[in-house]
Amino acid sequence: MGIIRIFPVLPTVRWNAALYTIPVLSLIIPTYNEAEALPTFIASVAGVLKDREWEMIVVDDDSPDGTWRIAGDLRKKYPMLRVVRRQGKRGLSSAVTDGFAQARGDILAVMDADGQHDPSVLPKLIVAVGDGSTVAIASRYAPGGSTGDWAEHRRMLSRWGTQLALALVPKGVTDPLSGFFAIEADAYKRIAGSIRPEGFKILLEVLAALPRTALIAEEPLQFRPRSAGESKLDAGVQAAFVHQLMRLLWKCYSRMFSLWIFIAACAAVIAALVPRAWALSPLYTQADIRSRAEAALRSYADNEGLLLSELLVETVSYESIDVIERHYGRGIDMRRCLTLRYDLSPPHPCAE
Amino acid sequence: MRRITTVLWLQGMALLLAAGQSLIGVRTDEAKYLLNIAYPHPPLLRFIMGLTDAMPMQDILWRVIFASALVQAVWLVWHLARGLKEDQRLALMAAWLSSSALLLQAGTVMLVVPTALFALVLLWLIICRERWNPGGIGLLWLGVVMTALQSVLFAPLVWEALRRRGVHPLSRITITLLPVFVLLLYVGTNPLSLASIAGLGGDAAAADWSVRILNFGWMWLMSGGLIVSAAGTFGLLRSPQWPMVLSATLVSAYILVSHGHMYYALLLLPFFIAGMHSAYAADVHPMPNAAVVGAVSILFTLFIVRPQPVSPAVSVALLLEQQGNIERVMISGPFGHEWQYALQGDVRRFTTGLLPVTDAVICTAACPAMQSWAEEWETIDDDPEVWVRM
Repeated sequence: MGIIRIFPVLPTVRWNAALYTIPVLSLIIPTYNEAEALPTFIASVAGVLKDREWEMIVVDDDSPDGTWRIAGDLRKKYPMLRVVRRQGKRGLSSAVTDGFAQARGDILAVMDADGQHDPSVLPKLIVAVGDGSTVAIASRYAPGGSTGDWAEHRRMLSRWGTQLALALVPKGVTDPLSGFFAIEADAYKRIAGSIRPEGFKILLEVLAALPRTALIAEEPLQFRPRSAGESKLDAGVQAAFVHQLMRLLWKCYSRMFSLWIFIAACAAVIAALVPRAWALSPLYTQADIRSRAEAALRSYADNEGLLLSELLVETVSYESIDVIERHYGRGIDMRRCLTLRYDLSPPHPCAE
Repeated sequence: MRRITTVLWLQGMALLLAAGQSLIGVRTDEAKYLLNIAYPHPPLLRFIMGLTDAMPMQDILWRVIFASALVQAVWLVWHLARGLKEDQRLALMAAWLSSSALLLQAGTVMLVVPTALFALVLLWLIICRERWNPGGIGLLWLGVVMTALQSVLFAPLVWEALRRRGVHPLSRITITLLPVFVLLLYVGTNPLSLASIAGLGGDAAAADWSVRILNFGWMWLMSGGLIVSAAGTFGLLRSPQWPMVLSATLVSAYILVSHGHMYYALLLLPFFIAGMHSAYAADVHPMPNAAVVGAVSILFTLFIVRPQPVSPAVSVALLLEQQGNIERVMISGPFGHEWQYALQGDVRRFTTGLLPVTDAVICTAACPAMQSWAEEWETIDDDPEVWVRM
């Protein structure tokens, strides 16, 4: 559990969307050591959103380079800027969910501050959500999008990860691992409780939690090189992604899987019981067989000093019953099959 | 660390309760499950218990397991109450731990224990809106239904747990009813079960209604230890949760019309906990706090607890063991399965034709017939009469 400091300290007040003719945007920017890129980034975002009501929430994981301090200083110029400094907590996904928890807008958006995400796509995402889509994604794999000048191995890893992740998300999504997207605030609130903010891929978590029928829009994104700072993509991040994928696959398919196991278990028990029920059916359907079987059982039990619970009826026919004589005691496992005839002649071992 | 300490204290309580029950010895119903005797309940849990029947302290093992499960289930109650104030949560925990039903049943090896725990799990799923897989709920339901017949009384809770999970109505019907069908099929293939149910039903039908109502009232009091019963019933009746009320009504009706064993009181306890939770959540006044709940329930339990009759089966078994070479024992008069549990060797009902191949005869009722065999047999105990070959 980390410490979250919020600048400024404001009461949590929901903006009344009815007062505005256009949706209110809350843009969450998770940062770690982005002090160099942040001022340019905020300026570019402010430029594309100048006609809109918006707030920006910078969620910084207590960067050693003082990103949170830079962001705080920029508030003088950008009053719509808020800063969340998290101490003792790390992780992009959890930074985004913490930012969403502080957000007051009708539309929530996420993008990186390192210059790789083109801010000019942001208004298109807002329009898409405003027009009825639940989520709008800036996609590197939609027509017109690209991963830029990635190294081949990184491109391949991204493709593989994307292909695996597509099994979890609504149809039509091409880039479920994008870090640049917008979501309707109410839709997010409905799924917030089921989201586990692990690793880097918060969009994947969101898409996996949405109903399969959710409306998803995509805008092409030309992925750009970093303007400053260093990449956080390392082996640990990749391992966290694999873990997240496995967890979400299990969450998605275990429901169906467990249902089939349940049905299979019931079917197995029924399959075991039906032949026995058939073998015993004369006992229930024919009163004379029932009375003769009971007489044979009681006669044998009385002669042998057995309790009726020590005679388990296996099959019933018109002349005899087959029973398992079982003796109960600790460590005792004595049982034998006997045929008891209704004419009360001496019993004999069951036929094979 | 604090939680671990609490778990250890609770475990100490469970061990104490199990030890207390072990002093009474194995009861006839407990012997049925420990020896996996094929009636009246379905086979799942008794089969597992029967696998351990060769263990020297089998009954102690299962007493500890059952008592631990029942006592440590208080953590479910704690989690169930997470939306309440701290003092209300403590009151609910006190309600569970200090109830007469728990104090008197923890440590017994009766199937009413896992049945009551299953009811608590379902109520926890419903109240806490836990996101279990529907198939998982179905598997648990199938398992419990194949453990104890009375569990069918909780079908409304299963339905509600599935409904809250957003399961399609057709799937809900399938998951709720398929295990019930499996149970009916099992009972139909076990004539012993059917005969046992019919026999108990006959005994119950013969009972006077005033006796049944008094019996039920006493069990209602015992279930929660007076105050929890009252507060729980009050909360349940105020609650808008019809599946809980329906299931509690089914359990009550079952207790009313059946043979009414005292251990059935445990089946009502989870509903009283849910009722109290509902009342606390609605901020109803007055509701008791933890101190009042604990004090009243424990005092009530101390007031009603009576020494339980101990079966002479264990003492007779020890006596016969000292004789040595006892391979077959016959018992004259009524006897329960605890005799099969306690005695070594083959246990039979008394039949004069088997006397030549029997080593000992136990008379639980007067057996003057043995006097005619006095030349070959001698008594080694007189309460009950125990005869051994000279």
